[in-house]
Amino acid sequence: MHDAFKVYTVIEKLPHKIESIFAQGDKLYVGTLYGTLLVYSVREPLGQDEAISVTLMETLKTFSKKAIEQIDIIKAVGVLVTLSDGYVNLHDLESFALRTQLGETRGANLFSVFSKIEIQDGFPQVVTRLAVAVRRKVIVFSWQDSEFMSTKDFPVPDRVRTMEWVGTQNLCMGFDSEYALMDCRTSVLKTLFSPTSPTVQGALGSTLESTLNTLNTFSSLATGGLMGFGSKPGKPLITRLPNDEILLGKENSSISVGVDGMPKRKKGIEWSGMPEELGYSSPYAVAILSRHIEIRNIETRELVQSAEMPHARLLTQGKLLYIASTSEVWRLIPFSFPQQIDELVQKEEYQEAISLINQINPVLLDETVDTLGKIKTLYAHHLFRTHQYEKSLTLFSELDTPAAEVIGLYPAVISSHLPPKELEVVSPKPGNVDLNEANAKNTQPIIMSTKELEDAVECLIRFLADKRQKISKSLQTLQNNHDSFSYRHSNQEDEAEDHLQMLEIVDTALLKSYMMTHERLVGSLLRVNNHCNPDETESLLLKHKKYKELVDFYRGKQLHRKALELLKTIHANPGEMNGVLPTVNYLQRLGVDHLPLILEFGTWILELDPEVAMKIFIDDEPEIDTLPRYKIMAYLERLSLDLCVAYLEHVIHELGDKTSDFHNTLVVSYLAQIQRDSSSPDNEEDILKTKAKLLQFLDESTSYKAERILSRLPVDSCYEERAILLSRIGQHDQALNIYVHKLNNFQAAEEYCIKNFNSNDPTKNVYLLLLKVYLRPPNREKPMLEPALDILTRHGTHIDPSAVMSLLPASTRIDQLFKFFEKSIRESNKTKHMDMIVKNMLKAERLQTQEQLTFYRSRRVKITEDRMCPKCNKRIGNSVFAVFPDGVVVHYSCKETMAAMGHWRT
Amino acid sequence: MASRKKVLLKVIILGESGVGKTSLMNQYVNKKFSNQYKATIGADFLTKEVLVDDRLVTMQIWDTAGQERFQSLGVAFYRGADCCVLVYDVNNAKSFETLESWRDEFLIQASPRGPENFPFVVIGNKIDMEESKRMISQKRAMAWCQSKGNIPYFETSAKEAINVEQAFQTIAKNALQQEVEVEIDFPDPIKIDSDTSKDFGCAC
Ligand SMILES: Nc1nc2c(ncn2[C@@H]2O[C@H](COP(=O)(O)OP(=O)(O)OP(=O)(O)O)[C@@H](O)[C@H]2O)c(=O)[nH]1
Ligand SMILES: [Mg+2]
Repeated sequence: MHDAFKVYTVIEKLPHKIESIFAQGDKLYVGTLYGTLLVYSVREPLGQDEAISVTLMETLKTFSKKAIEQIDIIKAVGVLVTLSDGYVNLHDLESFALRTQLGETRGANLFSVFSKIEIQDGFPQVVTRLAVAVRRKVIVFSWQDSEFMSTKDFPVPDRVRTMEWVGTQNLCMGFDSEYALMDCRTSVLKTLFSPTSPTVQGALGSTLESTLNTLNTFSSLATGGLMGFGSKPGKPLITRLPNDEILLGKENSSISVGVDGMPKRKKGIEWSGMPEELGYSSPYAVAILSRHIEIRNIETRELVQSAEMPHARLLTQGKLLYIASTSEVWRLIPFSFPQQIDELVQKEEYQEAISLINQINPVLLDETVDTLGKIKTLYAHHLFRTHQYEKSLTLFSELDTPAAEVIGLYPAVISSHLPPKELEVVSPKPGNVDLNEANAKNTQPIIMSTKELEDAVECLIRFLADKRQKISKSLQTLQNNHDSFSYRHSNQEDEAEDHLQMLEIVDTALLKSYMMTHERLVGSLLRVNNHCNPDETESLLLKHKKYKELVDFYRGKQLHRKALELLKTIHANPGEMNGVLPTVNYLQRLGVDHLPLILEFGTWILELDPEVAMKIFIDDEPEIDTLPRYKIMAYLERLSLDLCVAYLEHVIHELGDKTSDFHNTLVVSYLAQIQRDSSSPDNEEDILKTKAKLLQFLDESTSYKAERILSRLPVDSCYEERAILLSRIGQHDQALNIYVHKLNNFQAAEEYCIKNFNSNDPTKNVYLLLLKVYLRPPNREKPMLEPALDILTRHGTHIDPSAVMSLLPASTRIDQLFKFFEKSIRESNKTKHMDMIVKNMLKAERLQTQEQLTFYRSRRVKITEDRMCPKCNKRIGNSVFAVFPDGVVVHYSCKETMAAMGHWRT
Repeated sequence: MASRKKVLLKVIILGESGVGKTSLMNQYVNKKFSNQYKATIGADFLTKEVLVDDRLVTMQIWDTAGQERFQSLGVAFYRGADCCVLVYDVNNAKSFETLESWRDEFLIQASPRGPENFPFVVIGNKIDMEESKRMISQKRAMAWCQSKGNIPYFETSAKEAINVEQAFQTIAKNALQQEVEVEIDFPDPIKIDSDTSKDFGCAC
């Protein structure tokens, strides 16, 4: 409650009994029981403490013979309208002389005047209606400007108790049992509801009543009369509100209705008693109750002010509010709106203040919009202080209050990260409102129970989620602008910086809120693009042992070293972050840009669990493909021979890398493995495995450099490997030497020959070389005749017999060579026969070709002196000519045309 | 007018562009499929009445654009959701890998009342394509769903209408558990004529 009006006594102890009052401008008209009209001039006090000045201007003792029941004015016509003795009379407004007694109003008990400026035919005109209730009909008089237009009668079902115009076309009437709206164009009467609540309630009625709001109820004309029985009937009361809205009394409540007859507001006003009279003085509804008057805000329905006014029974409608008893008249003058708002704010009645601002004309306030925002902010703070967190935060969100101001309302667990200046909340001061008191309250910390704090934080989460999106959006816009106008941007940069700061405040608060109420969302927040303060986040997460989330956060912030160090520190802790796998997963996603980190932090995991750790280099993640293989190879070589081998095997076999360095290194590494393992007899199996891999690799790979590897081979072992390498560089004799003399494996030597024999290259005849190895052993050893003869027997055809003869020792028995010679001779015979066949066939082919030549030569044309071209009919003469296959001869230049004409295509 | 209160379930479909969100919704609601790709812009919804445990509910299915990220829709859009459907394409590894961030973003934007229990459903779509194209195994997807609090998982084809009905049935069911009763606004709550009052008497 606050003081909306100041009450002044205008007339005291009037000896006449007051029957009616009316006010316009500074004039107050008072009609009395005995027909006297009193006209006062009332001047509003200029200052707060001044008295009102009232002067009696006129006393018209014999204005009427009977009581003056109602007074009004039609300004456009210049008349005072009064109701007296059952007639409506029009008096001159200046001289008060009677102009007309409206004869047809005989028996009238009530009238209502309404004027409005309407545009007609493009000109503004004052349209005035005067409705007069006469028994069971209503007569409507119309004026346009000062010109009388028409009267029209409307029958009504009952005696009209009260009525008001709703616009110029609709008349709202109150009967004893019913309100009704009449459209004066169609005469259609629409019943609304009864001013009295039904006391005789059937089962149906009560269900309906309780299901729906009372104000939705209305009864038909027929039942309405019945319902009034047994209770003190509510008096029909009608008050006009702005915008074609009317307020209708229904016992203790007032219900507002639109011109369509539909309720306009969700709820009706509830008075503390049954109003005797109802009025409206913007933006308040006024009611005279039995002992006092009440003033209420139409929107909030709250009681604004009440005042003792014994015996009050009349009030004026509209801007100038007068209230009268039979002998007293009071004037109620509103305090200025800024003053009223101040008072409401002081009393923390923010909702009332906001409603007031919303209802009044902005020109009545200084800086309305601003004030409104500020008061709403105060209201939101107030809601917070009164523990209505949901409402408070919703309002803050709506107002787009700076996040720091809101976060600052929370205890340190949530707000400790705010910069110190933000912590002391500076409440905005609306206009001239003095808010020191409110300020003092704001800074008081709010004491909350744990449960309450959780509720409040829950609301804050929504506020913050909203906020971070808004700020991000506007930051994005800023950055887009920035891109397009690269010059004048120092300002924009500052602004962007501000935004980032705000985001940090918001996200950090959100993190803390999640930590308190929804731990699981901590991870979500830290994984998405966020601006949480790194130090705060770090200490908070470490405190709560949220290592996984912290690692995610570091990753998002590119603080990889921190993440990796953390992973290393906690790898021995039980739980999901145990072991090397988390580090492996982290390193796998880093990519080439962070190679030094990968290598640095790869070491401990490779040492701890090489099998799992190797996945940082040999998994099929896209980032791993980007890593430089040379460097990794070198790194692993230093670290461990086996890992290097594993890596190279992956690179070569899985990824198909043909780089010769990798192949060379793999061979050398195999050799090194073999050498290492041979120091202990337990490793037999490993050595065999490695050897098998090595041989297979030497055999299959074509990318290694044999010369280089040869030099690294141990002199006294690895003969097989050496043989393969020698063959790679074309040293077949040496290779064969190894098979025969070092390995004593004649079969391998023979296979070697089969594999490497190339009949097109007779100079390098491997069979001959093998024969030499057998028959001309080094160091004057005994020639090995047996295997040599075997070779001759099986492969002798590939060897020139004469070369064989010179190699064979003289002591060789001729019968041992029988097989060789037989094969050799057969082979040479076969070759000879084959050659003869070929020779004869070639001869035949030559003859055929010669025959064809003769045929072509026989085709000729003869160009004589008078050989003509059939195309142009000129002599061919010495010109170039063309011959068609059918023998036709034309000029060469005529050939195309001839062909185009359909002659042979050449 | 059997009941004045009606259940309205708000379901939001999220996932990378091109995974088949629009197609799934269309298959479910309109029983139609098109091979043509038309990127969704902003968000759009279709409604469908479904019977869940003998209860008739209205599902409001919001299809979103995979091309835009959350900023464009606003927090209000996500608020009040009863279920969030995360869709990926089983033949596209990236669309699977981003599921997590769709989920994270949703949880932060929507700030549901009980984020721990908020119902999600994961759908692996386009299982009609050749097996050789498949990038994400059912096992891998299910492992992920399990790790996120046992999210129900469905493999569907919007094209061949495989499993679509089943997936949405689960969506509706889980959404209903989340739902708050929403009063559907009657067009004219004030107007009561005598007929209505009779109806009231008969309804008992
Ligand atoms: N083979 C096959 N194709 C599908 C399936 N579902 C959708 N598609 C195709 O995939 C493409 C994209 O489908 P949409 O439903 O438009 O994808 P979306 O997720 O809505 O994409 P955005 O609107 O950009 O977010 C279209 O060409 C569809 O025809 C499916 O189950 N199988
Ligand atoms: Mg789409």
